[in-house]
Amino acid sequence: MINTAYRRFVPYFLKYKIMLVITFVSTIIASITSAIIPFLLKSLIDTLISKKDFSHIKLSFIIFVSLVFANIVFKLLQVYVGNLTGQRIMRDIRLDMFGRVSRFRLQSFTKEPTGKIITRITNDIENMNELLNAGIISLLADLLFVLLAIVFIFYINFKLALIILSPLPIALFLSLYLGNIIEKIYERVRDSVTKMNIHMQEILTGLNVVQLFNLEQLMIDKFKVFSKDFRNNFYKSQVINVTLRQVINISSYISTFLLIFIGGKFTIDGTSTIGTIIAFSTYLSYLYGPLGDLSDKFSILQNAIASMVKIDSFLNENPEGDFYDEGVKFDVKGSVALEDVYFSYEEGNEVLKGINISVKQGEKIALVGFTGAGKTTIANLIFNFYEPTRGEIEVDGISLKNVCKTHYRKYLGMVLQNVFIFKGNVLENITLGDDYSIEEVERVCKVLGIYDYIKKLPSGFYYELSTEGKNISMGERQLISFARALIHNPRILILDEATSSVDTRTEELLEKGTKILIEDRTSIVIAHRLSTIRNVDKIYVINKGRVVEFGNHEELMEKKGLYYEFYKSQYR
Amino acid sequence: MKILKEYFRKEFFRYIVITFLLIAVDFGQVYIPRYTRLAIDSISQKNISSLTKYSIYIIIIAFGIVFLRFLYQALLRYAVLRFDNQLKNRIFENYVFFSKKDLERFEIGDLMSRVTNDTTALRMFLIMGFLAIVDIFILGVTTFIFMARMNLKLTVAVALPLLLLFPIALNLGSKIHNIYRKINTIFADMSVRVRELVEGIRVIKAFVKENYFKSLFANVNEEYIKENIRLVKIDGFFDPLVNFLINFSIVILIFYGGSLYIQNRVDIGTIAAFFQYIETLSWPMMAVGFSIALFRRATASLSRIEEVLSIKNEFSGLEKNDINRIKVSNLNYSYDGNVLVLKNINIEFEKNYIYGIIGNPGSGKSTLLQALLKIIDVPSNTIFFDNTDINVISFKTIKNLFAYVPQEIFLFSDTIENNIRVGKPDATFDEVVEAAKTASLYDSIMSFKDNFKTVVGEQGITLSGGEKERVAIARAILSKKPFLILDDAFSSVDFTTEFNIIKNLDEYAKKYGLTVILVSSRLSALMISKKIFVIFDGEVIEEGTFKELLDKQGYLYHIYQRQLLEETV
Repeated sequence: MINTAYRRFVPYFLKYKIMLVITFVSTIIASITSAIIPFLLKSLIDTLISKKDFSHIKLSFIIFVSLVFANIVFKLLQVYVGNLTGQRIMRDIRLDMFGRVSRFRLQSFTKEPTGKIITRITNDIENMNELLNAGIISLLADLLFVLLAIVFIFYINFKLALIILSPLPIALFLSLYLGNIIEKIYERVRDSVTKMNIHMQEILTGLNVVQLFNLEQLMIDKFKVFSKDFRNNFYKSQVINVTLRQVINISSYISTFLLIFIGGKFTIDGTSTIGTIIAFSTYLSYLYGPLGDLSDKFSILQNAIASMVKIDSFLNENPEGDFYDEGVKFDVKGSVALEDVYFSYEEGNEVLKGINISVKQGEKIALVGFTGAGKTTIANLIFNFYEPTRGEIEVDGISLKNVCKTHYRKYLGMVLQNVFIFKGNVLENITLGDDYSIEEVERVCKVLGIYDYIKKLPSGFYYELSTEGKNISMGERQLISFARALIHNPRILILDEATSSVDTRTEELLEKGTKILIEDRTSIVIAHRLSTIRNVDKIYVINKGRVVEFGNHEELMEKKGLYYEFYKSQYR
Repeated sequence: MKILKEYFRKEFFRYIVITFLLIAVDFGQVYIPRYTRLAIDSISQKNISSLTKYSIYIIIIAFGIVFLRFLYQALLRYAVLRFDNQLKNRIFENYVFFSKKDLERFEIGDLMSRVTNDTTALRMFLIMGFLAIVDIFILGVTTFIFMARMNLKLTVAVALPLLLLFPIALNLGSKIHNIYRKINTIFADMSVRVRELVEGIRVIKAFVKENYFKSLFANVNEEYIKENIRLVKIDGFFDPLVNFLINFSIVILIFYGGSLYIQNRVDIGTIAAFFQYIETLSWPMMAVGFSIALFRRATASLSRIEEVLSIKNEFSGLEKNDINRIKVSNLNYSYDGNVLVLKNINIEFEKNYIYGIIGNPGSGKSTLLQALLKIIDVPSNTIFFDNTDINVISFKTIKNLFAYVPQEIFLFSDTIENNIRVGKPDATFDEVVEAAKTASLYDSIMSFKDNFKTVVGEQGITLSGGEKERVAIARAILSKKPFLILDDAFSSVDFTTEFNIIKNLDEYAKKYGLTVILVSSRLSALMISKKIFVIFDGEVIEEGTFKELLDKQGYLYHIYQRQLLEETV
């Protein structure tokens, strides 16, 4: 699993080869210069003590100062270029993923919870960002640094090195061991945070229900369970973390003690020098410093890898469906035919069972039936969001199986009951970024009779809508989606319960306007309100996935079938 | 700040103890280099017994430091986490009593982050910030004092580059918080764009606007990179710069300390001790910037927390067990103080009848209902329950009197049964079934695999719009409250089902003596109403029985005529 994830993401990294090389080279140089500094220190001090003269150390001193400067320059380069590269790589991945998700088949969107998709694109990629800087680069720097420090220590005085480093393996082992335990507790901490968040989200979304049905105390008690869980687990992880750091501290102090005591004896014996002791004491802080963060860094790295694998399997589980340049491209005129179409969202549960519908170019038809009869599914199939499990759908005599979906859809328009409004002004919500002039938009809105509604908003067409359109009413949202569909001048227009939240009078205006705007276009109307469909050319009555009757209003009324029943129930 | 005052007052003694422990540890830390110096001097004097003595001093102090550190950390973290927990609960408890107006002032994600992120900022300051500040003063100052006592000139010399730290740290402290806040906002915008992609996918695909939405997302991403790089230049550069200053200080120590040593004005032990002191100083130095940043973040978070805690809703007020009449008189209402959503509304609802409201989009129907439910506040003397002003009446009364089905249905991610049960948690199963049947939901429920135990929401099945509406209707019915308010509750239900629900509701209302107020854009739902109010652009333009309104030949007639026309065709 990790392998396929690597294979997927490596190309993103390779795109920034040069920047990565700069980062790694800077890292290496910064680590080496850092590690050499104490070594030089030793010879400087020893020369100073033995010669009691400055002239002998002039050269080493110049080298020393240049090392200090080289160190800062390369360190800053490492941090800057490393972060820039990481950010750019993550941006590329995020944009690519966004594009991929937009090309997912529609099934994926019903299958995957919204929260999961958002987390994959935002938080998981954010975690992955740590892979490069906090993960690979920082670990590389630490590792290189520690290795070099150890090499220098042993090079300077092998025996003393062996003695003063004796606590190091124990500290290393304990910090990894405790780090592991912390990681496990931390999982529980994250879990309780998630639970708190889910609970809050739910309660705040439905707060008026909570209040009107007197559920406040119940919800508070439930929250307290989660917050208490958080507190207990978090405290545990904190105590262990403090312990871990103190273990490292005490090892470092023991090493220092050994250095001064044993190193002191060696110096008195003449097998070591004071310069060595000073240099070693600097090296010790270099060695133990990163150790405290080691388990943190590993856990960040693990987290990043876990996120990477999650993103990968998320993409693997959801194949892309809509490609831009595959299939037949043609100018849609607008005749639609469904021939013996079967369809099921999940196996064994057929929603459509042999549907036959044919619409001539410019014809207006309506689909009528109970909730769950399969009307919306038919609309989905005509949009080529799904493919029929059996049967054929043809537009202008061309099977939808072979067409380029995105090219084809440009000729279609739809208005849904649940209107989609995004963060942006009314105009952007209508044009969807296409460059229609404001005059054109105004004209369409005037014809639709919704111009006045929009003008009534605080800044008219430039009124900023919040996401989901929470700052306007449901009916107003539907008006916007009407204008959106019609300005795009579709050949085939599908209205799926498009006017459920507007009053009949507005609906009438919309209907008149639509008629003018789509004069010779094909339209398919799905409606509960039968008044909206009185003028269509043909009505198909759908029941349990089948067309049970069709014809115009009069014919169906005469038949005294299901349509007649519907009609009667509506106009008693 | 009140919250913190309360906290410090409560934990005063604990903090005294912790501060003492900290001071002890800091003194230990400055004594170690002192003994190191003596040990090094013993080495150069080849005196093993005093070397042994000072080495043992060092290790004893070290063990003391480690033990005391563990102690104060555990003590401090315990208190802070207890505080954190209480604060989280307190904020959430306050949220639960928010009014609609309060809720609309904030985004839900923002409210959530106050409970999680802002308390984290506060917690970090109370732990790390507190330790850092104490260390800066105690450890920083004592270290300098000890250094100065060993050699004043050398201390001044090595301190020079370290002073440069202060402008860098202040710069970090003043900017970092704003950048973090900006990054968080942009990150939230990023989530919004992804959410829009998911929720609008059918529309985006239908209009082939994948690339447009990707470009909107790309814009947010560019901003995100920009701010992150700004952060790197300030925050990411800080540690390397501190490191550089320390190295520079060491250069001076060798150069200047070395020349003093040659002149025999300083011993080698002092130089060794200074190495350790400079290293010891690196922590309080880094802590300067770090604690300013923590402090700024914490104060901002604190004011965000206090902002939501200061919202207090009075739930007291007159309680009534039952009312006979609701009177709305001369009600004007505006959300923004500008555009009137409701204009001079004068209507009355009497007990035991069904009322219908119809109107154009944005006409203020929902606003009117929300005013009756005290979800929004109205001016005094506009709505009366019997003869009592609604503003005097307690929210509890509203809860006892009204059941409500809002336009946007909210279900808990729980079983269908529990979702219905919300109406009356102690209802028997038979009552739940009866409510489901009245709402014409029973058959749909039985068609699910787990029947009433079917889980809805993200973890379970997704109900259709019509099913959701009926669950909400069943919930309201189950509560058997004297007033039932339905705000466009049938918009996703087909006509036959709607007809059945209306019929059941009519019977049910008669049986239990309920008052029903229903807003609908569909005429058929209104036919059973005793009285219908037609609201147009915030004004009641017609009222009366169905027949009266037809005779009037106004708005309602107009709609009806269309249907009549059809029947005669």
